[in-house]
Formats: sequence, structure tokens, C-alpha cells
Amino acid sequence: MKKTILLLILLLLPSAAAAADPLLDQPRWSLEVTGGTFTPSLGNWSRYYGRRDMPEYATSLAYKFSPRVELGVGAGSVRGQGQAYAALHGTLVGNVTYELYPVHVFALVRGVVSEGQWLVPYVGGGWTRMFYQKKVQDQETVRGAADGYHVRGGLQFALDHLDQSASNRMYLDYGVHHTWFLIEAEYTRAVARSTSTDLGGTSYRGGLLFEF
Amino acid sequence: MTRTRFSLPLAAASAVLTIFFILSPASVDAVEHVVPTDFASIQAAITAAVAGDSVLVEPGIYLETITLKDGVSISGRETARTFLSGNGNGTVISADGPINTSIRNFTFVNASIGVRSSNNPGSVSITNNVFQVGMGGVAVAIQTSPLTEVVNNVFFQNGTAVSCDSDIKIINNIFANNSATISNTTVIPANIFNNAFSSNVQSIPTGTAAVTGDPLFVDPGNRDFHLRENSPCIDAGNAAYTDNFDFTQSDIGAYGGPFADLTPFPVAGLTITSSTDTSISLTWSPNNCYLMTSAAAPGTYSIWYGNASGDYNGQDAEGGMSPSPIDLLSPTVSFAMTGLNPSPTAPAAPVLDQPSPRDSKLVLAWSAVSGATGYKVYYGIASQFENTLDVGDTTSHTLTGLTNGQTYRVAVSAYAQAQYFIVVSATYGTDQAFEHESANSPEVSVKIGPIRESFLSNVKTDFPETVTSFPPLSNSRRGCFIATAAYGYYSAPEVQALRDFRDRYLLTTAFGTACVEWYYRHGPAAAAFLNAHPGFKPAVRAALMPAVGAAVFMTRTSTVMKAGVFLMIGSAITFGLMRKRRAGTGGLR
Repeated sequence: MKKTILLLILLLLPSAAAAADPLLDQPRWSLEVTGGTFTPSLGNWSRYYGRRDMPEYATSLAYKFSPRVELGVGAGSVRGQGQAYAALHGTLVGNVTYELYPVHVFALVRGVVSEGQWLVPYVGGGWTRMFYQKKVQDQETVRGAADGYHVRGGLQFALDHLDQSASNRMYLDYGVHHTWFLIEAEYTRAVARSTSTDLGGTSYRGGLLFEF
Repeated sequence: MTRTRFSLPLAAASAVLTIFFILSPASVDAVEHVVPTDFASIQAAITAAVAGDSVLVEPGIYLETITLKDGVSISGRETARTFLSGNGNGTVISADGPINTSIRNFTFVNASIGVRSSNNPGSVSITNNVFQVGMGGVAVAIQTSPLTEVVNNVFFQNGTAVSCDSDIKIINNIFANNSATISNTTVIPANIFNNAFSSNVQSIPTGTAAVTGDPLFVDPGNRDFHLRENSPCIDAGNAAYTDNFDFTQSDIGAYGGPFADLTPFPVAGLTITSSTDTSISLTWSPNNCYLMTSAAAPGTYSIWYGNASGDYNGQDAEGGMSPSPIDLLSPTVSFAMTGLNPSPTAPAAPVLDQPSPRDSKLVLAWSAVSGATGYKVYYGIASQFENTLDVGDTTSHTLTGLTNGQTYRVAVSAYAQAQYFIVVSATYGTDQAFEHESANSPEVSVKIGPIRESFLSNVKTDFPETVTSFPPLSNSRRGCFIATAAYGYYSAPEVQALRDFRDRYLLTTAFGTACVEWYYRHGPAAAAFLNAHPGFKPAVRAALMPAVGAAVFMTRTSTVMKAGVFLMIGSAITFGLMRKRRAGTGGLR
């Protein structure tokens, strides 16, 4: 029930805020598209998956209550290919495909102090539901979800100043006020209660942020 | 496998023509460019060609937009199997501008426009093609190209068959199932002769000597537009044209006239009806073209066989008296190959790799053996000969349904059995002045005769086991069937407590895991009963109450709390026992 109320607030607040705020020319939404790596918190990962990290792709959409404060939702995808283990034989056998699909509801604070700022730091965090799927060759596929939290922080660099004419076209053609390049780090913790397994980890991502 | 045999008069005529072309100055440099043998695409061949050259297209499906060149003609090897597709839109062939060309023996499908010629004072000959571009397309679009000839084609299921704005020649064509046949916007054509019209939405104008009624195509659903016997289009063409196979008055349609493709439609429906150690019985669908079924000059079929796919050099039918191909003497659609002598040799033994364990399974792999047509897997506990599986022609197999931890002995053998690969072809008129054979039917195969088995491979021993994968996770949606049914929904707190107890305590021991597995085998039936009789749910909830309470206590309380409660219970039991003992001895009054 609490999650439903939170979601409703998230959906309804923008309309209320827009109705109350006459300065509609300011960007109200942030759209992030990022990619990077995800390093699980679990130890021993590389033994089964050959490397410490996995590729991750993520996107998020947030409503800006002010130039500094946002509330939004995001989702991502993490996928790794590894091998299963036959303990009595002491050998790795069969392929394992491990997939995570984190869904976030978050609040974010951006360090905006002036219009035309080149570099903006930001921090945020919120609730996470981590959906997982593990396919083991010749065995049953395991699926489930775990709840947890995440925190993240990063830096965004204004791209508008690099090519002002392109920036103007983005605004005129697509309504995009500002385009940023961002790098960020994120820590997630989501423990599957059935096996006390922390599905979270640390992400390092880069990407683009569009404000419209 | 195509054979073309000419009779003596035709061979002589051919030789004369060859000498004529060799001596003719204009033909000295003429080149035939073959697609895809010489060029990967039709357009590439046309680009490379010069005036006087020709482009011959082998059977296949070509998705191209083709622009023709002056003096370069293009033709398909077989009308029925050489497809030009517009891939749903666009113009397949454009012959714009001042060019002379001919387009022959193609099947046009799936296009906005099949052939377009515009502003062309040259001669464009469109003959012996099938147009089925779709009900939204135009098969032939002619604009300001008065010397265009559209002769001996089939127009089937087109939006507009022929769209033109000048008085072009439209002769000996079949128009069937089109929205519009001939659409002329400026003049009433005077050169429309001997065309057949059937089931078109609009068939005006029909011109002179029009033929009506069902043209009796063999199988338009499979794009076989040859004519059946008694078709009104047979010998009903314009008198100025003669057929190139019987030299009578031309048939109407794509397979008549002086430039008709004489290749029969491939045989379909070939099946093996039965076999013994020395015989194979076959049947196939008849080719109902009138050149095959004519009582006066019937066509025939040929059986091609061999012991390798695509290699039809068999020699042993009828005890060696009927090597491949077996030419049948009548247009029958069944045949029994008898007197076969399959004599395979035993292959070498394969080498078995160490099995790979899985949960209740062993994954096997072994080396391929030359000449083997199949493999057998032997496995058992005390002996590998306890069970045998014929796994066919593969070099891997997974044994299933095994017991984890139980060691199995496994071995493999290879075997060889003679396999016959067979196709059938159709041939027109053995007693006419020519003989033309179709492409082969789809191949069928069968194994017959004795099986020669190799020695056994090396024997391997191994045991299956539950494979663990990292990280440890379980299906969070796999719940308690009975509790879910009793409490009404999966996420009820009581059901969650039972799930947590299962995952934290039961699944951590072998006995507990066995109990859970037993429950998941039998629980669904009880849950189904409960759902069918909801009146029992309150009673089941009451019965589950102690279990739910225990589960909540075990999963929701801290270790200190558990220790305290267990200490209290233990103390109470101890105290009770002491009281009972004292009461028995009379120590307490």
C-alpha cells in the first residue's frame, strides 16, 4: 500500500506543481540514458563468471520540483554469463545466464547554483526492487525479486556550451533545454530473503542527461 | 539433374543455327552473362553487358530493382522457378528511354510494378512471363512506348494487369483473377488478340478472338500455371504464333508460343510408403500438365537414387539391372525399387569423453566415426549393458532420470546401415521431337538392410549430482500451495512466513529438502481440492495456525528471543518432569 501511495504521489505531483508554477519555460523533466559496469557485492564472482563486473544499461525519468530537487523512477539491465559448479566433482559444468533488472524510485539533489553552470554535482538515493533471473543449462530457471535501497552520486557536464547552435536546435526541434554528459557511481543493496543473498553492487556509468 | 535430348532434325537445325551465328559479324562478340554464375546480381550482369549481349538468370528468388540497357535482353532459365520480387514495393524492371530489349521467362511477384517502360521509342518484348505482383500492384505499366509487345504471359492476381496509353500489342495472354485486365487511358487498343479472360473484376477491352472460361491451370496456388488437359487455352492462340514444342498453333499463356520454357514443373509430394531390407516403395503427386497427361504423347518420371544426399549414382536396384536414373515407361505416380543390395561395413568404435554431471543427468559426448549412420548408448549401474538407447546420427546425448550420487557405467557404439536418398523428376514427351526434364523433387531418404555395429567404445563411469550455480537464489514465486489456497492470496503474511521458514530452515538440510520436494509433488492436488471446496478453508486455516505461529516465531524473532523462549520451554518441561517424578515418589505433598 505504501508503495502504491508513493507511486501515486509521484504521478500526481508534477501536474500540481506545473499548475502552481507559472515559469513553464524552465525544464521540468530529466531523462537519463546511461551505460557502464556493475560490480556485484558478492565475493567470488569472477570464479564463476570470469570477471569481476558485468555490463549495465540504465535509464531514468525524473520530475524537477525545482532546479535542484527531483523525484523520479529508473530501470536498468545487468547480464552476466558464467558456469555452474558440480561440487562433488569439483568442476565447472554447464552455462549460467544471470540477469538483474533493478527498478528504482529515487530523489535527487543537484548542485545548481547559477544559470549556465558548466559542472554540476548531484547525489540521490531511494528504494530499489531488484528483479533477478538465473538460467542454468539443463536445469530449472530461477526467478524472483528482492527489495532494498540505493544511493548514487555523480557529476554532469554541460554540453550546450560546446555547440550553442546545436543546443538551440535541440530546444526548437525537441524541446530539450539542456543536454549534459554525466558520470556517476551507484551503490545498491537488495537482499533476497530466501537465501540472504545481496544482489546489489556498485555501478559506474556514463551517459547523457536531457532536461526538457 | 536436368537432361535435354534433341532429336536428329532438331540437332541438325541447331548446328545450322550455330554456324550461322558464328559466321554472322553481328554475333561474333555476343556474350551470354549467367546470373549468379558470372555475376552476383542481375543488375551487375546488365551493367557489364553491351548491345547484343544477353543475361540468363538461373532459378532462384531475386530481390532487385533492375534497369535495362539498350540491346541487352534478359531471360530466366525456368519461368516457374526464376522469381523477380519487388519485396512488397517498387518497380522490378524499368525499360525507360530509347532501348530495345526483351524480358522473358520470369515470374514476377510482390511488387508495385512488375515491368515499366516509358518514353521508349524502341522495341520492348515481354513474353512468357508470369505476373503475380499482388492486388495492389500493376504488372506491366507502359507509357509512351508504342512498340511494346506483351505476348504469351499469365497475369494472375494483380491490381492492374496491363496499364498503357498507346496501342501496343497484347496477344496470347491469360488474365485471371485480376482487379483490372487492360487499362488504357487514351486510345482504344486495336492490337489485342487471342487473350483469355477468367474471373477478373474488370475485363474490358477483350479485343479480338478472346477466350473465356476457366483456363485450367495445373496448380495456381503453388504458382504452377501450366495448362491441364481440356484447357480452352490449348492451341487457341493467334495463328501468327506457333508453339516451340509441337509446332501447332500457339497455346495461350506463359507456356505457349515460340519462346515457351519447356521445363516441367518439379514433382511434389514424394514420400516413401514402405520399405523392406531389399525394396523401397515410393509415391508422388502427379504433374497434371497436359504435356504429361496427354494420352497421345504422355510424359514420364525418372527415379534418381544413391547412398549419399545429393549424389544419385545408385547402381544396385533390380540386382544391379536398374542403375540410377530409373526411367519409367508410363506416367505412373508410384514405384517400387526392388532387388536392392544394401551392404554396409561396420564402422570403427567411437571414443567417449568423460561424462559431464548435471542434476539427475549425465551429458555424454563422443567422437564422430566415418561411415556411421547412427550411435547407440549403453549404460547401467552394475553393467553398461543394462540399458541401450539408439540416439540416431548425433555425437552427444544427455542421459536423464538418473539418481544423483549413483555411479553409472557408460559406453557408446557406432553403427552403419545403408541409407538411400531418392528424388523424382518429370519429363515431357518421350516420343516427341524433344525431351525436357524438370528439376528434382525434394529429397527423401530411408535406411534399409542389415545394421553393422562397431565394437564398444571405452567405458566411462560417473555419477550425476545437483549442480549449484552462483549466487544462491531460489524461486521467490514458488509458494505454499495449500496455504495460498487457504488464505486466498500468495502474498498473505502467513504464507510468506511459511515460505521463509522453508527457505531458511527446511532447505538447509537433506531431510528438509526431501520433505519440501514431497510436498511440491503432492501439494498442488490438495490445493486444487481446497479451491474446489472453499468451505474447508476456515478449518484448514485453523489447522495451519500452529505451523504459521511456529514459522513466524522462527523467522521473525531475534536469536536472543529464540534462545530465551527455548530456555523457558525447556525449563518448564524440566520443572514439570521433576514435579511428576517427585509426585511419583511421594516426595512432594
